[in-house]
Amino acid sequence: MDSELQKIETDLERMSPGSMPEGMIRRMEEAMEGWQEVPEQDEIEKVVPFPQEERSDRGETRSGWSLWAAAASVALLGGVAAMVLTVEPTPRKVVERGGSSAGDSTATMINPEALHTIELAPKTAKRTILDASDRDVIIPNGSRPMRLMRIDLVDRVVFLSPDGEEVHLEVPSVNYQLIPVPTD
Amino acid sequence: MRNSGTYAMKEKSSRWREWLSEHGSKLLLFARQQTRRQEDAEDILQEALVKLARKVDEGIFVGGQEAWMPFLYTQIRREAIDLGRRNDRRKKREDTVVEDEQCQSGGEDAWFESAGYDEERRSLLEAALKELPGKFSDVIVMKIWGGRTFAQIGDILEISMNTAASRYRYGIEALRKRLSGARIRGDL
Repeated sequence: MDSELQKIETDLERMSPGSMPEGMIRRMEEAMEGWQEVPEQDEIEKVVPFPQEERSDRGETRSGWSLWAAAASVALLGGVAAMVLTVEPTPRKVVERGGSSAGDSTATMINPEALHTIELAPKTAKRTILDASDRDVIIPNGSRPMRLMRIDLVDRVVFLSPDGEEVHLEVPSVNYQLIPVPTD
Repeated sequence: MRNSGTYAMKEKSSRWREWLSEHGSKLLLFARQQTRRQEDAEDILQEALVKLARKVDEGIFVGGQEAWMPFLYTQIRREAIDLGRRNDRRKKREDTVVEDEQCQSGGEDAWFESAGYDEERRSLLEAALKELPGKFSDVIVMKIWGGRTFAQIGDILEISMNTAASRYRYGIEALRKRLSGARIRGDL
Protein backbone atom coordinates (compact mmCIF):
# COMPACT_ATOMS: atom_id res chain seq x y z
CA MET A 1 0.00 0.00 0.00
CA ASP A 2 1.52 3.31 -1.00
CA SER A 3 2.13 6.19 1.36
CA GLU A 4 -0.97 8.13 0.30
CA LEU A 5 -3.22 5.18 1.04
CA GLN A 6 -1.46 4.64 4.36
CA LYS A 7 -2.08 8.28 5.21
CA ILE A 8 -5.79 7.83 4.61
CA GLU A 9 -5.71 4.70 6.72
CA THR A 10 -4.03 6.65 9.49
CA ASP A 11 -6.57 9.44 9.17
CA LEU A 12 -9.38 6.92 9.49
CA GLU A 13 -7.79 5.33 12.54
CA ARG A 14 -7.66 8.74 14.21
CA MET A 15 -11.41 9.09 13.91
CA SER A 16 -13.30 7.76 16.92
CA PRO A 17 -16.73 6.20 16.53
CA GLY A 18 -19.43 8.22 18.24
CA SER A 19 -19.71 6.95 21.80
CA MET A 20 -22.82 5.23 23.01
CA PRO A 21 -24.88 7.63 25.11
CA GLU A 22 -25.47 6.59 28.71
CA GLY A 23 -29.19 6.23 28.08
CA MET A 24 -28.58 3.84 25.21
CA ILE A 25 -26.16 1.74 27.24
CA ARG A 26 -28.81 1.47 29.94
CA ARG A 27 -31.47 0.44 27.41
CA MET A 28 -29.21 -2.19 25.86
CA GLU A 29 -28.22 -3.46 29.27
CA GLU A 30 -31.85 -3.77 30.34
CA ALA A 31 -32.71 -5.57 27.11
CA MET A 32 -29.85 -8.02 27.69
CA GLU A 33 -30.96 -8.62 31.25
CA GLY A 34 -34.54 -9.21 30.16
CA TRP A 35 -33.90 -11.55 27.25
CA GLN A 36 -36.41 -14.02 28.75
CA GLU A 37 -39.18 -11.59 27.95
CA VAL A 38 -38.27 -11.43 24.27
CA PRO A 39 -39.78 -14.18 22.10
CA GLU A 40 -37.32 -16.34 20.27
CA GLN A 41 -37.46 -15.19 16.70
CA ASP A 42 -35.28 -17.95 15.34
CA GLU A 43 -38.27 -20.24 15.36
CA ILE A 44 -40.20 -18.09 12.95
CA GLU A 45 -40.38 -19.90 9.68
CA LYS A 46 -39.22 -17.88 6.74
CA VAL A 47 -40.59 -18.24 3.26
CA VAL A 48 -38.04 -17.19 0.71
CA PRO A 49 -39.49 -16.45 -2.71
CA PHE A 50 -37.53 -17.80 -5.60
CA PRO A 51 -36.23 -15.24 -8.07
CA GLN A 52 -38.87 -14.42 -10.59
CA GLU A 53 -37.30 -11.82 -12.81
CA GLU A 54 -36.13 -14.28 -15.45
CA ARG A 55 -39.32 -16.25 -15.62
CA SER A 56 -40.50 -14.49 -18.73
CA ASP A 57 -37.04 -13.85 -20.16
CA ARG A 58 -36.08 -17.33 -21.18
CA GLY A 59 -39.43 -18.96 -21.51
CA GLU A 60 -38.20 -22.10 -19.85
CA THR A 61 -40.38 -24.93 -18.72
CA ARG A 62 -40.71 -24.55 -14.97
CA SER A 63 -42.89 -27.57 -14.60
CA GLY A 64 -40.29 -29.77 -16.20
CA TRP A 65 -40.30 -32.17 -13.29
CA SER A 66 -43.76 -33.47 -14.07
CA LEU A 67 -42.84 -34.07 -17.68
CA TRP A 68 -39.65 -35.76 -16.67
CA ALA A 69 -41.51 -37.81 -14.13
CA ALA A 70 -43.87 -38.94 -16.86
CA ALA A 71 -41.00 -39.85 -19.13
CA ALA A 72 -39.10 -41.58 -16.36
CA SER A 73 -42.08 -43.56 -15.24
CA VAL A 74 -42.54 -44.79 -18.78
CA ALA A 75 -38.92 -45.83 -18.92
CA LEU A 76 -38.67 -47.38 -15.50
CA LEU A 77 -42.00 -49.01 -14.87
CA GLY A 78 -43.11 -50.61 -18.04
CA GLY A 79 -40.40 -50.11 -20.50
CA VAL A 80 -43.08 -49.54 -23.03
CA ALA A 81 -44.74 -46.27 -23.93
CA ALA A 82 -47.92 -46.14 -25.82
CA MET A 83 -48.04 -43.28 -28.22
CA VAL A 84 -50.73 -42.39 -30.66
CA LEU A 85 -49.47 -41.80 -34.13
CA THR A 86 -51.18 -41.52 -37.43
CA VAL A 87 -50.29 -43.44 -40.50
CA GLU A 88 -51.13 -41.54 -43.64
CA PRO A 89 -53.75 -39.29 -42.19
CA THR A 90 -56.76 -39.36 -44.40
CA PRO A 91 -58.34 -36.01 -45.19
CA ARG A 92 -62.05 -35.95 -44.85
CA LYS A 93 -64.19 -33.37 -46.42
CA VAL A 94 -66.43 -31.41 -44.17
CA VAL A 95 -69.47 -30.14 -45.95
CA GLU A 96 -71.16 -27.08 -44.62
CA ARG A 97 -74.86 -27.44 -44.04
CA GLY A 98 -76.65 -26.32 -47.07
CA GLY A 99 -73.46 -25.70 -48.91
CA SER A 100 -71.55 -27.49 -51.55
CA SER A 101 -68.49 -29.63 -51.27
CA ALA A 102 -66.40 -27.08 -53.05
CA GLY A 103 -62.76 -26.64 -52.13
CA ASP A 104 -63.29 -23.52 -50.02
CA SER A 105 -65.48 -25.28 -47.54
CA THR A 106 -63.29 -28.28 -46.84
CA ALA A 107 -61.00 -28.80 -43.88
CA THR A 108 -58.48 -31.51 -43.15
CA MET A 109 -59.32 -33.64 -40.16
CA ILE A 110 -57.78 -36.73 -38.68
CA ASN A 111 -59.78 -39.84 -39.29
CA PRO A 112 -60.02 -41.68 -35.95
CA GLU A 113 -60.08 -44.97 -37.77
CA ALA A 114 -56.65 -44.22 -39.20
CA LEU A 115 -55.18 -43.86 -35.72
CA HIS A 116 -53.52 -46.77 -34.05
CA THR A 117 -51.06 -47.23 -31.27
CA ILE A 118 -47.50 -48.33 -31.61
CA GLU A 119 -45.17 -49.35 -28.87
CA LEU A 120 -41.97 -47.48 -28.22
CA ALA A 121 -39.30 -49.01 -26.08
CA PRO A 122 -37.07 -46.64 -24.16
CA LYS A 123 -33.49 -46.98 -25.25
CA THR A 124 -31.59 -44.43 -23.20
CA ALA A 125 -32.39 -41.76 -20.63
CA LYS A 126 -29.89 -39.13 -19.68
CA ARG A 127 -29.94 -36.00 -17.56
CA THR A 128 -27.46 -33.25 -18.39
CA ILE A 129 -26.68 -30.17 -16.32
CA LEU A 130 -26.44 -27.24 -18.70
CA ASP A 131 -25.62 -24.53 -16.20
CA ALA A 132 -25.37 -23.99 -12.46
CA SER A 133 -25.33 -20.48 -11.08
CA ASP A 134 -25.12 -18.93 -7.65
CA ARG A 135 -28.25 -16.83 -7.18
CA ASP A 136 -28.18 -15.50 -3.65
CA VAL A 137 -27.36 -16.24 -0.05
CA ILE A 138 -30.41 -16.58 2.14
CA ILE A 139 -30.05 -16.16 5.87
CA PRO A 140 -33.17 -17.29 7.67
CA ASN A 141 -33.48 -15.38 10.92
CA GLY A 142 -30.81 -16.61 13.27
CA SER A 143 -30.25 -19.84 11.46
CA ARG A 144 -27.61 -21.11 9.11
CA PRO A 145 -27.07 -19.21 5.84
CA MET A 146 -28.07 -21.10 2.74
CA ARG A 147 -26.83 -20.56 -0.79
CA LEU A 148 -29.52 -20.62 -3.45
CA MET A 149 -28.29 -22.39 -6.58
CA ARG A 150 -30.11 -22.41 -9.88
CA ILE A 151 -29.49 -25.50 -11.98
CA ASP A 152 -30.51 -25.65 -15.62
CA LEU A 153 -31.10 -29.21 -16.77
CA VAL A 154 -32.19 -31.06 -19.83
CA ASP A 155 -33.53 -34.60 -19.77
CA ARG A 156 -33.07 -36.57 -22.98
CA VAL A 157 -34.90 -39.85 -23.53
CA VAL A 158 -34.51 -41.91 -26.70
CA PHE A 159 -37.27 -44.33 -27.63
CA LEU A 160 -37.04 -47.04 -30.25
CA SER A 161 -40.01 -47.77 -32.50
CA PRO A 162 -40.78 -51.29 -33.81
CA ASP A 163 -39.35 -50.19 -37.15
CA GLY A 164 -36.09 -49.38 -35.50
CA GLU A 165 -36.56 -45.64 -35.70
CA GLU A 166 -35.36 -43.50 -32.83
CA VAL A 167 -37.70 -40.99 -31.25
CA HIS A 168 -35.88 -38.33 -29.23
CA LEU A 169 -37.62 -36.54 -26.38
CA GLU A 170 -35.98 -33.52 -24.75
CA VAL A 171 -37.37 -31.89 -21.62
CA PRO A 172 -35.58 -28.79 -20.32
CA SER A 173 -36.10 -27.88 -16.69
CA VAL A 174 -34.85 -25.56 -13.97
CA ASN A 175 -34.14 -26.72 -10.48
CA TYR A 176 -33.32 -24.64 -7.37
CA GLN A 177 -31.33 -26.05 -4.51
CA LEU A 178 -30.41 -24.66 -1.09
CA ILE A 179 -26.92 -25.53 0.02
CA PRO A 180 -25.70 -24.76 3.58
CA VAL A 181 -22.93 -22.17 3.66
CA PRO A 182 -20.08 -22.91 6.08
CA THR A 183 -19.83 -20.29 8.84
CA ASP A 184 -17.90 -19.95 12.03
CA MET B 1 -31.40 -16.29 48.68
CA ARG B 2 -33.22 -13.42 47.14
CA ASN B 3 -30.37 -11.16 48.09
CA SER B 4 -27.89 -13.43 46.42
CA GLY B 5 -30.08 -13.50 43.31
CA THR B 6 -30.20 -9.73 43.25
CA TYR B 7 -26.49 -9.65 43.80
CA ALA B 8 -25.96 -12.08 40.93
CA MET B 9 -28.14 -9.92 38.69
CA LYS B 10 -26.09 -6.86 39.63
CA GLU B 11 -22.91 -8.76 38.93
CA LYS B 12 -24.21 -9.77 35.52
CA SER B 13 -25.58 -6.32 34.90
CA SER B 14 -22.29 -4.67 35.69
CA ARG B 15 -20.54 -7.15 33.44
CA TRP B 16 -22.78 -6.22 30.50
CA ARG B 17 -22.46 -2.51 31.31
CA GLU B 18 -18.71 -2.58 31.50
CA TRP B 19 -18.46 -4.56 28.32
CA LEU B 20 -20.98 -2.34 26.52
CA SER B 21 -19.14 0.80 27.60
CA GLU B 22 -15.98 -0.57 26.04
CA HIS B 23 -17.33 -2.10 22.85
CA GLY B 24 -20.74 -0.55 22.31
CA SER B 25 -19.52 2.33 20.15
CA LYS B 26 -17.79 0.00 17.67
CA LEU B 27 -20.89 -2.14 17.36
CA LEU B 28 -23.13 0.89 17.02
CA LEU B 29 -20.92 2.21 14.23
CA PHE B 30 -21.20 -1.09 12.38
CA ALA B 31 -24.97 -1.15 12.91
CA ARG B 32 -25.21 2.39 11.56
CA GLN B 33 -23.16 1.41 8.54
CA GLN B 34 -25.51 -1.51 7.91
CA THR B 35 -28.67 0.56 8.06
CA ARG B 36 -29.70 3.99 6.89
CA ARG B 37 -31.45 5.13 10.03
CA GLN B 38 -30.18 5.62 13.53
CA GLU B 39 -33.35 4.03 14.95
CA ASP B 40 -32.89 0.92 12.83
CA ALA B 41 -29.24 0.72 13.90
CA GLU B 42 -30.23 0.77 17.57
CA ASP B 43 -32.94 -1.83 16.97
CA ILE B 44 -30.69 -4.33 15.23
CA LEU B 45 -27.91 -3.78 17.75
CA GLN B 46 -30.34 -4.48 20.58
CA GLU B 47 -31.65 -7.61 18.84
CA ALA B 48 -28.11 -8.88 18.42
CA LEU B 49 -27.19 -8.14 22.03
CA VAL B 50 -30.30 -9.89 23.32
CA LYS B 51 -29.41 -12.99 21.28
CA LEU B 52 -25.92 -12.92 22.76
CA ALA B 53 -27.26 -12.57 26.31
CA ARG B 54 -29.69 -15.44 25.74
CA LYS B 55 -26.98 -17.75 24.48
CA VAL B 56 -24.53 -16.81 27.23
CA ASP B 57 -27.08 -17.18 30.01
CA GLU B 58 -28.36 -20.49 28.65
CA GLY B 59 -24.78 -21.73 28.44
CA ILE B 60 -25.02 -22.54 24.75
CA PHE B 61 -22.68 -19.84 23.47
CA VAL B 62 -19.70 -21.42 21.78
CA GLY B 63 -16.46 -19.73 22.81
CA GLY B 64 -15.45 -17.32 25.48
CA GLN B 65 -15.88 -13.58 25.81
CA GLU B 66 -13.40 -13.01 22.99
CA ALA B 67 -15.93 -14.60 20.64
CA TRP B 68 -18.69 -12.12 21.50
CA MET B 69 -17.58 -9.48 19.01
CA PRO B 70 -17.39 -11.77 15.96
CA PHE B 71 -20.77 -13.20 16.95
CA LEU B 72 -22.28 -9.74 17.26
CA TYR B 73 -20.87 -8.51 13.96
CA THR B 74 -22.36 -11.54 12.23
CA GLN B 75 -25.65 -11.15 14.07
CA ILE B 76 -25.92 -7.42 13.36
CA ARG B 77 -25.42 -8.10 9.68
CA ARG B 78 -28.10 -10.79 9.68
CA GLU B 79 -30.49 -8.56 11.57
CA ALA B 80 -29.88 -5.79 9.04
CA ILE B 81 -30.60 -8.14 6.15
CA ASP B 82 -33.77 -9.38 7.83
CA LEU B 83 -34.86 -5.85 8.62
CA GLY B 84 -34.32 -4.86 5.02
CA ARG B 85 -36.46 -7.75 3.82
CA ARG B 86 -39.19 -7.18 6.38
CA ASN B 87 -39.46 -3.50 5.77
CA ASP B 88 -38.72 -3.41 2.09
CA ARG B 89 -41.87 -1.63 1.08
CA ARG B 90 -42.24 0.42 4.23
CA LYS B 91 -38.59 1.41 4.10
CA LYS B 92 -38.85 2.91 0.64
CA ARG B 93 -41.67 5.10 1.83
CA GLU B 94 -39.93 6.04 5.07
CA ASP B 95 -36.59 6.68 3.41
CA THR B 96 -38.23 9.41 1.44
CA VAL B 97 -39.50 10.91 4.66
CA VAL B 98 -36.11 10.50 6.34
CA GLU B 99 -34.34 12.08 3.40
CA ASP B 100 -36.75 14.96 3.60
CA GLU B 101 -36.13 15.28 7.34
CA GLN B 102 -32.40 15.11 6.82
CA CYS B 103 -32.59 17.80 4.19
CA GLN B 104 -34.49 19.94 6.62
CA SER B 105 -32.09 19.29 9.49
CA GLY B 106 -28.96 19.62 7.37
CA GLY B 107 -28.55 15.82 7.04
CA GLU B 108 -26.38 15.55 10.15
CA ASP B 109 -26.05 11.98 11.40
CA ALA B 110 -22.45 11.84 12.48
CA TRP B 111 -20.84 8.45 12.85
CA PHE B 112 -17.69 9.81 14.44
CA GLU B 113 -16.72 12.20 17.19
CA SER B 114 -15.18 15.37 16.00
CA ALA B 115 -13.12 16.27 19.05
CA GLY B 116 -9.37 16.40 18.55
CA TYR B 117 -9.48 16.06 14.78
CA ASP B 118 -9.54 18.28 11.74
CA GLU B 119 -13.29 18.76 11.49
CA GLU B 120 -13.31 19.47 7.77
CA ARG B 121 -11.27 16.40 6.91
CA ARG B 122 -13.30 14.22 9.28
CA SER B 123 -16.49 15.43 7.70
CA LEU B 124 -15.21 14.68 4.19
CA LEU B 125 -13.87 11.28 5.14
CA GLU B 126 -17.10 10.37 6.87
CA ALA B 127 -19.17 11.50 3.91
CA ALA B 128 -16.92 9.55 1.55
CA LEU B 129 -17.19 6.47 3.74
CA LYS B 130 -20.98 6.70 3.79
CA GLU B 131 -21.03 6.93 0.00
CA LEU B 132 -18.85 3.87 -0.50
CA PRO B 133 -20.56 0.71 -1.69
CA GLY B 134 -21.50 -1.37 1.34
CA LYS B 135 -19.19 -4.24 0.46
CA PHE B 136 -16.20 -1.93 0.84
CA SER B 137 -17.36 0.03 3.88
CA ASP B 138 -18.32 -3.24 5.63
CA VAL B 139 -14.70 -4.32 5.59
CA ILE B 140 -13.22 -0.91 6.40
CA VAL B 141 -15.47 -0.40 9.42
CA MET B 142 -14.76 -3.84 10.83
CA LYS B 143 -11.03 -3.63 10.13
CA ILE B 144 -10.26 -0.14 11.38
CA TRP B 145 -12.75 0.42 14.17
CA GLY B 146 -13.68 -3.15 14.98
CA GLY B 147 -10.09 -4.37 15.07
CA ARG B 148 -11.01 -7.52 13.17
CA THR B 149 -8.52 -9.46 11.09
CA PHE B 150 -9.19 -10.14 7.42
CA ALA B 151 -9.74 -13.79 8.30
CA GLN B 152 -12.38 -12.85 10.87
CA ILE B 153 -14.01 -10.39 8.46
CA GLY B 154 -14.06 -13.09 5.82
CA ASP B 155 -15.86 -15.42 8.23
CA ILE B 156 -18.40 -12.74 9.16
CA LEU B 157 -19.14 -11.72 5.57
CA GLU B 158 -18.84 -15.28 4.22
CA ILE B 159 -16.12 -14.35 1.81
CA SER B 160 -12.49 -15.44 1.58
CA MET B 161 -9.76 -13.69 3.52
CA ASN B 162 -8.20 -12.53 0.25
CA THR B 163 -11.49 -11.06 -0.94
CA ALA B 164 -11.82 -9.19 2.34
CA ALA B 165 -8.30 -7.80 1.95
CA SER B 166 -8.98 -6.79 -1.65
CA ARG B 167 -12.20 -5.03 -0.71
CA TYR B 168 -10.38 -3.17 2.02
CA ARG B 169 -7.72 -1.96 -0.38
CA TYR B 170 -10.25 -1.02 -3.07
CA GLY B 171 -12.27 0.81 -0.44
CA ILE B 172 -9.31 2.85 0.80
CA GLU B 173 -8.38 3.56 -2.82
CA ALA B 174 -11.92 4.75 -3.50
CA LEU B 175 -11.74 7.04 -0.45
CA ARG B 176 -8.46 8.46 -1.74
CA LYS B 177 -10.04 9.26 -5.11
CA ARG B 178 -12.97 10.99 -3.45
CA LEU B 179 -10.65 13.05 -1.27
CA SER B 180 -8.54 13.94 -4.30
CA GLY B 181 -11.71 15.14 -5.98
CA ALA B 182 -12.51 17.25 -2.94
CA ARG B 183 -9.01 18.70 -2.98
CA ILE B 184 -9.37 19.64 -6.65
CA ARG B 185 -12.73 21.25 -5.99
CA GLY B 186 -11.12 23.21 -3.16
CA ASP B 187 -13.10 21.59 -0.37
CA LEU B 188 -9.81 20.66 1.31
